[in-house]
Amino acid sequence: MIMAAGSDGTILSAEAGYVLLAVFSVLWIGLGLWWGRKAKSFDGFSVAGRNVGLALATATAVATWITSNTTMLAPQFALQLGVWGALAYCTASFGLFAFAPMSGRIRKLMPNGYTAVEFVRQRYGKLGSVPFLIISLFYAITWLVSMTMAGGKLLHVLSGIPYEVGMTVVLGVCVMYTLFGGMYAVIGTDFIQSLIILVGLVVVAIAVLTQVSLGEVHHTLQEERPMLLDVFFPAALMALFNNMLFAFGEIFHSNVWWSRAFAMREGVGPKAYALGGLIWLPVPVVAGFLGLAAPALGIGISQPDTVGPLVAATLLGSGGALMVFIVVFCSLASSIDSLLAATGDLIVNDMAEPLCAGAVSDQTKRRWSSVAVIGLGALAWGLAIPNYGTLATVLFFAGPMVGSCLWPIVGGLYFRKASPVAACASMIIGSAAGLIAYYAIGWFTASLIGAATSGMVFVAASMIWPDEFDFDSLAGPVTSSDSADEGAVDEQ
Amino acid sequence: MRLRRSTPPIRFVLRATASRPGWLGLFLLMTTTIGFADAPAIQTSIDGSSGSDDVGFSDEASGGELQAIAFGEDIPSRVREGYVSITWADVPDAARYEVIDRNGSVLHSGVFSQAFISGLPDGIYHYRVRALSGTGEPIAITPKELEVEVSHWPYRYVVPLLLVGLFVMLSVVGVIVAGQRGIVTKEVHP
Repeated sequence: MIMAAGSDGTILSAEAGYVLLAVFSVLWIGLGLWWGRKAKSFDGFSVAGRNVGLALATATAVATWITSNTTMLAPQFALQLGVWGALAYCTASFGLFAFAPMSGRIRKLMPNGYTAVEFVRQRYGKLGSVPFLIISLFYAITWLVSMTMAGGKLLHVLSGIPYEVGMTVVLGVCVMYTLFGGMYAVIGTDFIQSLIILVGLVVVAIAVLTQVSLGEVHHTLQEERPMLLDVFFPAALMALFNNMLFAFGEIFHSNVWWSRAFAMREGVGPKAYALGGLIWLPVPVVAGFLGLAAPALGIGISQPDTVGPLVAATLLGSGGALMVFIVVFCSLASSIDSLLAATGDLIVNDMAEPLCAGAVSDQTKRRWSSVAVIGLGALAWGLAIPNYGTLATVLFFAGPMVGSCLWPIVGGLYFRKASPVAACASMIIGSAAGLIAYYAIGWFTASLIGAATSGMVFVAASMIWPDEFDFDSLAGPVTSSDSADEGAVDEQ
Repeated sequence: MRLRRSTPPIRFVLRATASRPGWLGLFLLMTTTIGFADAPAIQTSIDGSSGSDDVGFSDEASGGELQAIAFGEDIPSRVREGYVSITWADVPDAARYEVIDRNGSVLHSGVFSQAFISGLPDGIYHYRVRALSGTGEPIAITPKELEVEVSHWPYRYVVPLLLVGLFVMLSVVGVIVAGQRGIVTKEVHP
């Protein structure tokens, strides 16, 4: 039988893995083509006609934030840092709550905007936009690489498919449907993916709870791994606010979230992000429990970022492995496609277009977007092939830089006195301090140190060199857009 | 127990930073410790010349020769987070690997040549790895123990970081609330 365990100790056979890969590859590419058939202009491709309704907006926020980091890193956090680790991961939802009012402000200030870098360029000039662009690109590529790695690892752990094959297929599929459908395809597939992820997680949670005794898990942890239950676990306490501030920085600065804020109909953003945060909040608790259950179940964990899928699949057998495979594949795809689309916009809008002397037509930008998506896919593939480090170490390396962007964004959105010098200095000094903490202490303090240092520098520099920014200047001219794109997404 | 080395003896030298004296403030920590090479290091060798004592694992059950398994090079000898990732060289005919402690208790059993062990309180831990055949017979073992010291971060580091984190988080929320209120006030009273 195709679902039977593989000969090398994996839960699914390699044949089952290949069949699942083929089925979901065809499904996502097909749906991407269907939803993306109207993405003919750059406006349609990058911000889906700026008319996304509440249901799709909430779904895309949830699906994008339920990444492989949620389904694979939350259990890893729990296994590494215990109960505090799982709770620390939950605090990432606070980033969505905090971004909710900001998304409304962004949409109002920049009704024709495309990217976060565009805001920073208009708000702070080159002094602020150059470091911000570097950080944004670095983070986006790091996230993309960690997702790609997660795809390869998942397929290898569950079905024994070679890492290189798994990551290539997962990335290739996402590149394909994002290439054809842009933001239309991303948001449309996100809706389906978020439903599959949430239903799958509920099923896995119920099934696991019926098979594992909470008392037994507690007893085993107390006997064999007592620090995982320790309220005063030092590293876990150090990581608590780090994760929250990392999430704040991630969401506030990343074009993945800004492009959605631009794509949502006016007034939808605040509700969608708040609802998305609420729906997302319990997910890391469910995923984290899998990590804590591993020792009690006697499951040997080789790489901590694979503990979640491995525990669920071991407990629930072939059916569970199938469910886990589908959930994680959806969560991977929903993040990879978002990153490809949002980072592609950033490359076209904030790198290629400013370099051109004359005006660039909408169709040219649409073509450039396709090239950017393919280029990003190729770059991510090249960086993910060596399978360097765990997901946490790869992703959290970007943490200090992301954390140091927090204040320039918040300050720049609300306060006239926030100045270019302050933005630039806070990003550079905050990133440097955070990276030093990354190496000197550990990844679990880097964002916190970066955000704290950046905040102090930002406030001090804004007081010494204050600005008097006119927010009305952010509302740029109406861009050319394909009228056929307008209103298409929320009606599909 | 008779060990047969399948590869020439390899000397692994593990380096890790020693504990840094005293809490001199976060900035001192941040500005002084990036250079690992300059910090005093603990060296642990697992080549048999100066490692832990061989406590002996009998292969009487199999009665055959056991190959030697080499630990990975990048295993830290001292950790501050209570978890350690142990790696070792692949054994071609192994169906499964087990990580065992000094008492012979199996702490990890898996098919990959890597184990992740977490939740460890302060203390010194000794590990060995053995490879098992498809029938469950031991076919290879690490000739020496791996010694890992767990020494958690002192609270003089933890408490300031917690307080700083709380302050930054409250500040961000405060700034957003104040900013939103400012907008509302302006819209009502331009």
